[in-house]
Amino acid sequence: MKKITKIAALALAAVMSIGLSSCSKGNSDEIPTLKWYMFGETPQDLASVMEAANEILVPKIGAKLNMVYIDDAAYSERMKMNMASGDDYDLCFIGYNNPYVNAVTNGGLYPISEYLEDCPALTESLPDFILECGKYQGETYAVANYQIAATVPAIYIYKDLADEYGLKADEVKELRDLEPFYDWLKEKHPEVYPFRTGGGGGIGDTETEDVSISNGVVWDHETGKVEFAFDRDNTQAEALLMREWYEKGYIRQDISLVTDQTSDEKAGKYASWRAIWKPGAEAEYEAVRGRPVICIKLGTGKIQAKSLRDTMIGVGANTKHPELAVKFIEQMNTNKDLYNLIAFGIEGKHYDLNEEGKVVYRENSGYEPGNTWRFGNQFNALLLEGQEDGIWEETIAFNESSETDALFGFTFSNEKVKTEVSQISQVIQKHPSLKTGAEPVEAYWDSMIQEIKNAGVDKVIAEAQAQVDEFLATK
Amino acid sequence: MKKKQKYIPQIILNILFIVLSSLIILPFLLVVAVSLSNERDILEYGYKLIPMNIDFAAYKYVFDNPTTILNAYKVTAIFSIVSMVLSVLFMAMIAFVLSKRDLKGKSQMSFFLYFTMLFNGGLVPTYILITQYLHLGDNIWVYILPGLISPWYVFMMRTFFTGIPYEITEAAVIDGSSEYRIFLTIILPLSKPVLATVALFTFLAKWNDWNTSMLYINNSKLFSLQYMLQRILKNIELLQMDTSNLNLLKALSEIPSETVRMAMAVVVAGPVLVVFPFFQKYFVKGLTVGSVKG
Repeated sequence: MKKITKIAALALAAVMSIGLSSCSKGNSDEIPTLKWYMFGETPQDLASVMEAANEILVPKIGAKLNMVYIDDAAYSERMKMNMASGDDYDLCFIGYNNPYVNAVTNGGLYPISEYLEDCPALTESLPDFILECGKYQGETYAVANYQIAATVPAIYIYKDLADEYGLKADEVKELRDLEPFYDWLKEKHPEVYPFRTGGGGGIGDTETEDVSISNGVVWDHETGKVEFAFDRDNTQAEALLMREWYEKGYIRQDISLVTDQTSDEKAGKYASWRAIWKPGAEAEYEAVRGRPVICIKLGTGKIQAKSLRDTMIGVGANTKHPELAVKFIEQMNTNKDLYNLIAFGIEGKHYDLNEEGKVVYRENSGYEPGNTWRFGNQFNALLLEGQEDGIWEETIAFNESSETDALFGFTFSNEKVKTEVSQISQVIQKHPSLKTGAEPVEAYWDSMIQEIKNAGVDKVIAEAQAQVDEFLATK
Repeated sequence: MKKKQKYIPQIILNILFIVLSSLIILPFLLVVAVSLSNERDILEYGYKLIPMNIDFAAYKYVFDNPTTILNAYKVTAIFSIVSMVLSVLFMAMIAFVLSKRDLKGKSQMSFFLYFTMLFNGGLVPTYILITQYLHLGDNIWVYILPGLISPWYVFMMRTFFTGIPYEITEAAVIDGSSEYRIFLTIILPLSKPVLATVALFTFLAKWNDWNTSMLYINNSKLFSLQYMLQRILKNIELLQMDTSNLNLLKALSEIPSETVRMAMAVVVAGPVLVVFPFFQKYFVKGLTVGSVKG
């Protein structure tokens, strides 16, 4: 038996050394190629775009580019595998399908702070909050793609219904102001549900995204004080408002049975719904729903690190050329020719510019990746046919007029209080959703609070407060 | 009076099985009906067993680019059939050896197989092994080779082979038959039920495989059918995120999404429905392996 294990160990060592030596081959005189993992369908004519990109890149930074597309359906899993197996990619898309903090803590990314210092053109081209959101515990591993950064909580209403009633948008300051309109809708348009509830986000989603109700903990973004989410007046008030609206019939009565609302949304069965606002959102909804909408903002613009971290370019942990990778990120953010080449292809081959200077795709050209926010600073992008003039300037102005707060870029790590956090979320999941109003909130509110407290929410609050204080101290 | 008593249990049994069968058949009919419905009707009036208006839009969308779907069909059919044949052949050979009474080291060999049922390297080491050492990434063999031998089926076959009277093989040995001949001309023909059962299970598992494509395949010409269909749905979602392209958004809102999902289910399940009855006559017998035989 011993002999066998020895032989097996030797064989394994031999196999591994073959594997290693085949990796270390390669000519040092050759121009290095940067491998960039991107999600989406591989464009058929990727090769000719890569060739054109290399003509720009080789003189500028002395490296070539090799974009490797992975299907959207597989990206999340495949990147986990690539990170865990030590794949030698140089760059990768980081974002909602490959979360930043996970990528850093799993050792998938390379620290790039020192290389960023050598790229002043990059750091100067981006606002501070973009660079700030790339920091995790003081170190930078990825650069966010600058695009729409600020969001405003808002409510959308179909324009034809609002006009018929004569709704004055500027008189609506909070949700309650819509009640007369909803009463009128119930009478005149019984075929629609006045208000769409449910969906993603916590019940505090008119307020701020970091109300992480699932932990039972919120932090005040101005003072940095951590509190018990359910002790806050507005949490309870909002749950009670939803209950009241449900009883008044503004919310559909079978809401607790509905799991997928998208088909009813498409069919126009909801007269109004809550969502965030950004420049161009009304036109977007009109395109998707086929009917014009009006938007009433319920707050001011805020820039949130979480949404910026949804689209980033990260540098791979096992890259051999971190300095070139960062230089490449600089090019994608500052070099409009390169950016538009990757985003739209070659002019005259994949797209044409119309008389307004906007992009018109050629049919079946073999290169139409779309979703240009994947590639770098989106404000470099040419406008597409149908996009409003000045949309980028408007968006930049909106970003700059919005504010970040003291806790911008803070990430709570639940490492030390995992048990408590999971117990708390079990308690919350056990109770009916506070968002739908279908259950009598007032009846179970107190006992739910007590259960959450018993589950150890105080310990979570203390831990979160310690982390917040440390974050504020190092800032 | 006597006659009546005889009929009552009959009627109850019949009703019971009619209800049971409809519970199984109706959802499937509903899927077919929805896939043939008009998207608008579904949004307005919900799912209906009899479509209000017959509409082939969903199938048109799925087969919009027929070459990709047909190619995925071809790839899936090839690796499913090849896996099925190779799996059954190799597993039967192992099982045949393990069913020998006088084989030395039999329990060690069984343990070697059994061990892999309890322990495996996990996803990441498997991924590293397959992509970096076996170099099976982007290769059709990645569907076939890993998991070619399933210990569970090997033991199932071994139990069945042990049930074949030893005297038959002994007689063949006396007549001068080689082991290969015993295996091919005596054991295999006598074991049709278990072979058919294992073949069907292997075929179904491979036919429904989407995970392998997701992890190891980048070349869209080698995607399996299940993965290809999942990808069509995912790609619609991805296109919907392109909020700067309003023309595209408008076009996308007209894609029938509810009916497309059902049409895909029909497209995938179709061939298996044809295959299943073919194996059915062996099925029950194969499943009772290990039970006492007369």
